[in-house]
Amino acid sequence: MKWYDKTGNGHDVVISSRIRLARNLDEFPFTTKLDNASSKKVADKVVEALKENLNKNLKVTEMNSLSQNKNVLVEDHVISPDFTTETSLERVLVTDEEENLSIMINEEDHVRIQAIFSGFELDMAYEEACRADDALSKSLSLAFDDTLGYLTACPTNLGTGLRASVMLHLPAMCAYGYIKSLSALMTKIGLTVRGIYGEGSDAEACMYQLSNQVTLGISETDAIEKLKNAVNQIVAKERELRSQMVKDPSISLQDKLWRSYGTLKYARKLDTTEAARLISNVRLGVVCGIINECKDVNLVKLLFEIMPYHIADKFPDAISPEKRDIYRASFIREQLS
Amino acid sequence: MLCQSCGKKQATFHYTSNENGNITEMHLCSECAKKSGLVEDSYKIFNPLSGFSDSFFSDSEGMLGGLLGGMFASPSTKTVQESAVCPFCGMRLREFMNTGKAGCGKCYATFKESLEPTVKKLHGNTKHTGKFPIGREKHRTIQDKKAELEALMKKAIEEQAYEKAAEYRDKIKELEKSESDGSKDDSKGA
Repeated sequence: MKWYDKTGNGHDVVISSRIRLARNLDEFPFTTKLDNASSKKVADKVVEALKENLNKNLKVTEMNSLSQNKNVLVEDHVISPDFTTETSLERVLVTDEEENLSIMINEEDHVRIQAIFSGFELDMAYEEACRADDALSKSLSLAFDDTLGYLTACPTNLGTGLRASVMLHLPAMCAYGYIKSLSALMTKIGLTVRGIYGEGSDAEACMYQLSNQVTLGISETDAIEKLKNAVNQIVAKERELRSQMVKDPSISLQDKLWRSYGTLKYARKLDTTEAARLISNVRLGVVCGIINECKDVNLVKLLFEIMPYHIADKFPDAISPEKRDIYRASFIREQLS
Repeated sequence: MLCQSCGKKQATFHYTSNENGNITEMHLCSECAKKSGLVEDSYKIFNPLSGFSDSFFSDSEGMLGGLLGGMFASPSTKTVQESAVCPFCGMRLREFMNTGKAGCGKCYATFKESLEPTVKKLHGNTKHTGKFPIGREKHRTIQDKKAELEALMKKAIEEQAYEKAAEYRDKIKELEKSESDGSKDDSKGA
């Protein structure tokens, strides 16, 4: 079960809500100055504290012995890309059954707690992350200073160590060219807008991530409220633009969305960027009631399942990009049939 | 965010320069960053602000390190603390500046003087107002808790959530009571 198997609140615009808390143990150097033996001790202590104090079934995975390709987990937003790099440190991943909660041990900080939920569920995500945090501080002494708050490897995370972020699907704002000004506006109020894929392709799928920047001098609840307020305004604007788009008397929007559906349904070769763009279009069509043919298909899930490592993982002989494109197209056809 | 120079591609290179206190921010795509001479082909970055000509970084973390390095305290405090070493992890200030990463929690106390302006620039604040770890709550001063509750009460009133506001008011009263009881106990003890 993945977070995107469910459909959350406000899912027409908000794809997911994520909370990350950065924590370190007081008695050990941070990961930049940590040796392998100590990193094992850190991992053991963290796992023990979580098992003892968190009333949940936990799955503990040593990253070196992971059978699945690590990049599939990166594409699913369960772990960070940094967590897959070569290191002498013992890296351990702790997840709950539904993978809403994932705890990376010995990433940039000793502990990175992450809670991710489908839809606009920042409070739920914070509560989940907070429970894991309390489980740690119940039996471990965390690096903390009364003035600077939680002490983190990077000074940008000092204070709460909290990064709250939402993934937004903004096809109408994209179409009307509002993303640039949105991004500038958000920077002014201390929030950051980023694309979710690599350079260029994020604009294709119109998927953006909005998150807080400041972590010191603002409480967790205030930072989350601030983000929620911004999201509410963006959601309202996106919905307003979508209804404006739908009312447009020219047939060009409908034509574009239906063509996207047609291509997805019949194409024999699709690269990730094109597939993401087409799925984004079809999703807009479904949400606006233009396309009813695939309204029961989980298009968010599909958006993740067509990513390169997911395709390579599902089809072991998809070794070349061209083969992957062929498998991707056939997988999409199957999902839409 | 789009590139400030070409306005077409996504900005992936974020650069802050600090010349005599004048802070300029640049957000460029990789191509424009290369053209600007700030990034070499191999994405190695030369940070003219850290004051060390050998400060090359080869990854994105290095970029951040460069930014932080550039934002560290004025040259006068730098020379005083440059040789300082963290007694717990052996981190040197120069290394901290170059990588932008602390070696341990004690580094923040060791390099406090050099770090303060950086922290202030990064966050606009220098005082934590969020959660405390379990068992450490008592370290939080009554004044801090009161300020937080007062802010929450004010917000609740603005949102016309009067029941919530009354709850906060009662908590503030309780705190004030415990404060005065505490001072009475102290005077008894003395």
